[in-house]
Order: sequence, then structure tokens, then C-alpha cells
Amino acid sequence: MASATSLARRIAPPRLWPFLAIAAILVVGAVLAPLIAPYDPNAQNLLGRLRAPGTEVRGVVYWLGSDELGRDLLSRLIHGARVSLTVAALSVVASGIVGTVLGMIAAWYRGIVGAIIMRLVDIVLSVPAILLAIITVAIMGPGLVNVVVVLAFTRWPRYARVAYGQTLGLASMPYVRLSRFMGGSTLWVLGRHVLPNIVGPIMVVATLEFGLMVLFEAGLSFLGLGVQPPTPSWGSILATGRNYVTTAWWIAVFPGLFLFLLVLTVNVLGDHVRDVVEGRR
Amino acid sequence: MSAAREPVLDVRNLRVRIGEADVVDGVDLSIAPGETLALVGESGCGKSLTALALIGLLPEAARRIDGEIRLSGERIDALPERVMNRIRGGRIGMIFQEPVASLDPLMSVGGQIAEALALEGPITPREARERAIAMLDHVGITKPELRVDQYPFELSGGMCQRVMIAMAMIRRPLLLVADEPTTALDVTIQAQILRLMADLRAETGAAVLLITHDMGVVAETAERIAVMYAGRVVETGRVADVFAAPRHPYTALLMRTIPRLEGARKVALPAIAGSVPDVASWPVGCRFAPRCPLATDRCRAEAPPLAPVGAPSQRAACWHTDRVSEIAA
Ligand SMILES: Nc1ncnc2c1ncn2[C@@H]1O[C@H](COP(=O)(O)OP(=O)(O)OP(=O)(O)O)[C@@H](O)[C@H]1O
Ligand code: SF4
Ligand SMILES: [Mg+2]
Repeated sequence: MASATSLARRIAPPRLWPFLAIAAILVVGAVLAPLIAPYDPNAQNLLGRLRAPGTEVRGVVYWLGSDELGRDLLSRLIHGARVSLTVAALSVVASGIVGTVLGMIAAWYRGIVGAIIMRLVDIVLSVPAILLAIITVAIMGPGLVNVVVVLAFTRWPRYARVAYGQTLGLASMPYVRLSRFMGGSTLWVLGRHVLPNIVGPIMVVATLEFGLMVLFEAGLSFLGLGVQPPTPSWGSILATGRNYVTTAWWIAVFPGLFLFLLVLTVNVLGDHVRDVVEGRR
Repeated sequence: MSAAREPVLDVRNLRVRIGEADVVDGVDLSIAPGETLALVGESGCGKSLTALALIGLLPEAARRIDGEIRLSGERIDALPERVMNRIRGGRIGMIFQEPVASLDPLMSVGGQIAEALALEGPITPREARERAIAMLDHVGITKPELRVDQYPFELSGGMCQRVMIAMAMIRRPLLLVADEPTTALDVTIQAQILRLMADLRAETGAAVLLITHDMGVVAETAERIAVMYAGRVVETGRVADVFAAPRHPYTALLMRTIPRLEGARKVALPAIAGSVPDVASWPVGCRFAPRCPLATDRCRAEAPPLAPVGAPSQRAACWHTDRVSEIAA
């Protein structure tokens, strides 16, 4: 099956394997956190506070060091991956659905409906996203669910723009018109002929957005507006670490490193998704 | 006129306006059951707009400002969109020029045919699939059980057009509107597709409106012809009569463009000099006058009406019908 191998190589060329491996490790780590993490991420140990990576205290090995309450940093980072990936995934899905639906509607009906939606897109995009997020959290209060809602609310315009442009192009395609003129309802035509044909470009936005969402969540948690303690999040761990950079560098450095790796991986894979999608057209 | 001879399609005084110009300017057409009417003319004559106006699918820029359209005697020119949607794809089937663009690249062939059925009424996926396979077989696609699950990119242009025909015919329309169905295909495939359309027409008794700019296609497939020039029908009649003795200079010149066998070679004769003028510069009198070898001052001043001339079926819009034989090669 030569074609199957070449297809596999196109979808996952060898140069991407390290990144795929990182992504796989992070996802598996996040999903199986309770099984994989060596210790309870919230177990405090006053005798083992601010220990350097590799230190052993009464049979407890702090592979990546411990924080100011003697909690195992590695365990907290593994559980933190859960939060990062969950928030990023949920907000990408939520904003992706909202944006795609609104973009398709705007392009389908155009006229006043389209104008209103697309002006809204312009407005939301013109406000710095992090500012909008901070304001919304300040009003709604912090917390994981609220962070997802906020991110969905601030990020949907990216998808709406792409969905709008793509749908506009598809609306004049003979097969879309044909389906419509043979009596296909709006829902029918959009669902059967438009959506499947714009999923590719939407996926491109989604992967690139995913990396951003990880950073946004970290940023909000860093500012204390995100996931609340004691739930570990890379952003909040990083914030704690800031107070100890001079004495316990590892608390800030490791979550930073994890964030860097995750975002880099997502972006590399995202670029690849884009190449595949665009190359296909 | 008995009910059986009632035309499937009857169009009176169709007028389509774009901006200030009537790009379709008072067209009458009529097609009997089982008959093929060829609508012929060069690019820009208004053929597609005529067809689109009939089925209520004009582009946004264009408006139908006049005309009565009857499908089997029933007025369909003022129906609400919802009702038209049921007629299109049901009693009227449509085939367009671009077979590949007319199929959803991400939907299997069977899925698209099944869609035509599902829009008609509730149908189980299994039944839709079986009918799709049967229809694919019917339109001459080999291994239909295999093809039904394939995607358009796996099919040739000719096969895509067969799928389009299957989609258009599966609900047994009374009228099939085909706008240049073979233009995008190569010559041998063209002949096959035309033969398929003829077979299906004979079998179902559907009337066909075939738009083409190829007089060779007309000669082979149509019973009647309507020649359009600059938004008007300039000559119409039975194909046999019109081809035997065209009564409009434009028809005569178009006929000279039919490739003929010369020795063993097929040679295409040069097209008519000049081209259809832009809508904005259509002359007041006979619109063909600037390109007509027979044009006189009268032609340039006064537009000729479409009037009976020659054979009983024949009508032409020309002041000098008696001199057209000078042009016919
Ligand atoms: N969407 C549109 N907007 C503006 N003008 C149009 C539009 N569609 C057609 N026209 C104009 O209307 C006239 C008739 O067009 P039509 O498409 O009916 O010609 P046609 O006879 O089908 O030609 P062809 O053989 O090229 O398909 C042309 O002058 C064309 O420029
Ligand atoms: S009316 Fe005059 S210009 Fe027009 S086609 Fe006849 S001869 Fe030519
Ligand atoms: Mg056309």
C-alpha cells in the first residue's frame, strides 16, 4: 500500500515526530494525571519547602523541586497540564462553534444580519483580547468555567471571519446553489454542503488559537483571575514562582518551560495543518 | 388543442433586465412533451439568462420584469420561493455546464443523488442508496455499487456529468433544462452524453431545453431550434426546416460554423466576424445590422418582428428573408 504510506507521510512527516511525541506526552499526562503524577499535587510538606530539583526528603523525591508549601512541583505541573489543556480545548471548541455558526449565518443571509454580525466581529477584534478577558472576569468572577466562557466570548471573531469568507465563496458554487434551489433548507445546505467544506480552514484557525488559549489561561491565572488555588495551573504556579525567582528558580522556570514547549508544539503542528489544508485546495 | 399536446413549457414575452438594459427582450418559447428545443446563439446573447429566468434562478443583478411562464399549463412565474423549490429538482430538472463544480467535492456520489431524493420526501438511507445505484447504472456508469461510494475527484468530467444527469432525472422531471451540458467535455464524451440525454428523454417523455452554441449538436439532438441574438429570438422552427433553408442571416452564418468533413479532415470554418455587441450599444433597429452582410438603411432604422416565413413551422425576424439564401453556403 504505497499510497497509504505516502498519505501517512503527508499527514505526519518525520520532522514532526518529536512534536507529535511532545503533544502525545502532554495529552496522556493530562488525561492520566492522577495515575502518572508521583504525588498528590496538593499534599503539603512543611519539612520539604522550596527544595531544589532532585532533593529527597523522607522518601519523597522532588524531581523538579518543591514549592513554598513543600508540594511536589512535578505533580503540580502534570495536574496543571490538565487545566491548561482542558481550558484551551474547551475555549477553542466553544469559540470555534460560536464563530463558525455566526460567520456562516452572516455570509448566508448577508444584508442587515450579516452587517451586524461582521461589525460585531470588528468591534470585538479591535479591543485587546486580554483586556476584554480581564474586564469580563472582573465582572463574572474568576474560575475555570468563567475563563472558558470569557475566552469563547473574546475569541469567536477569528473563526467568524474565516467562516464568513469561506461561506461567501461557497454560496456561489453550483452545488451549493443547486441544493438550495432544489428545496434544501438553510440548515440543510449549511450543514451538508457548506460546513464540511469549511472545516479545513476552521481547523487551521483552531490549532493556532489553541496555543494562544494556553497562554491566555496562563496569563489570567498568573493575574489571579483564572483557575483558583489550590487547583494547580501553570499560570498560577508561575505567579507563585515569581516571588521566589532568586531563591527557588525552578518554581518559575519549569512551568515557563512547559508552556513554551506546549505552545511551540501546537504552533508547529498548526502550521502543518495549514499546509495540508491549503495544499489540498 | 388536446391536453396531451399541451406544451410542457410555454413562455410568453419574457423580459429580463440588468441595470437599464433588457438583456432578454421579449422571448417566446414553447416545448411539447418529449421534444428537444435547442436554444442557440453566440456568447452573451442571453441564453443562460433566459433559462435561469424560466426556473426562477436569475443572478442577483438580473430581474424578470415581464413574461408569462407555464409548466404544463400552470402559471409558475409568480409562485412563492418555497413552491418553486419543490418544482425545481422535482418537475424541472437542471444540468449545468460545469459538471465538476456542480458536485460537492466532499460528498459521495451516492450521497448527492440521495439528496435529490431526500428533498422530495422521507426516504430510508438504504432505499436511497439502492435507487442511487440503480440510477447510476441507468446513466451508463459501470460498477455502480462501487461508484456510489466514490467522491467527485475520483470521477472523470464525463462521469460527473452522468452523475448530474442522474441527479436531474431521478425524480422524473417533465422538463429538463440543460445549459451547455457538454461544453466542458471533450468531443467523444460529448457525443455519449448527448446520446444518454436523448435516450432518457425518449424513455421518460420529458421535454428538454438544450442550450448550446454548437450547431452540430443542434442538428444531432433537437427537433426544434430557437436562435437568439442580442436578447431576442431571431429565428425559430423545426430543425429540419431551418437547416434546409434558414431565413435569418444570423442563422445562415451560424450554420456555416458547423465543422464539416472535408476529405478525411474535420475542419472548423471561421466564426462570424465581430462579436455580439455589449448590451449598452445595442442598435435601435435590427440588432444584427452591424454584422449583417445584407443590412440596409431600413434595417438600421426599424427592428424587424418575428414573423412566419418559409416552412409552416418557421418564423424569422428579418426584413430581407428572401435574400438569406445568398449567404447560406
Ligand atoms: N450576473 C450578471 N451580472 C451582470 N450581467 C450579466 C450577468 N449574467 C449575465 N450578464 C449579461 O447578460 C448578457 C447575457 O448573458 P447570458 O449569460 O445569458 O449569455 P449566454 O447567451 O448564456 O452566453 P454564454 O454562451 O457565454 O453562456 C451578457 O451580456 C452578460 O454580460
Ligand atoms: S433585418 Fe436587415 S440587418 Fe437584420 S438580419 Fe435582416 S437583413 Fe440583416
Ligand atoms: Mg450561458
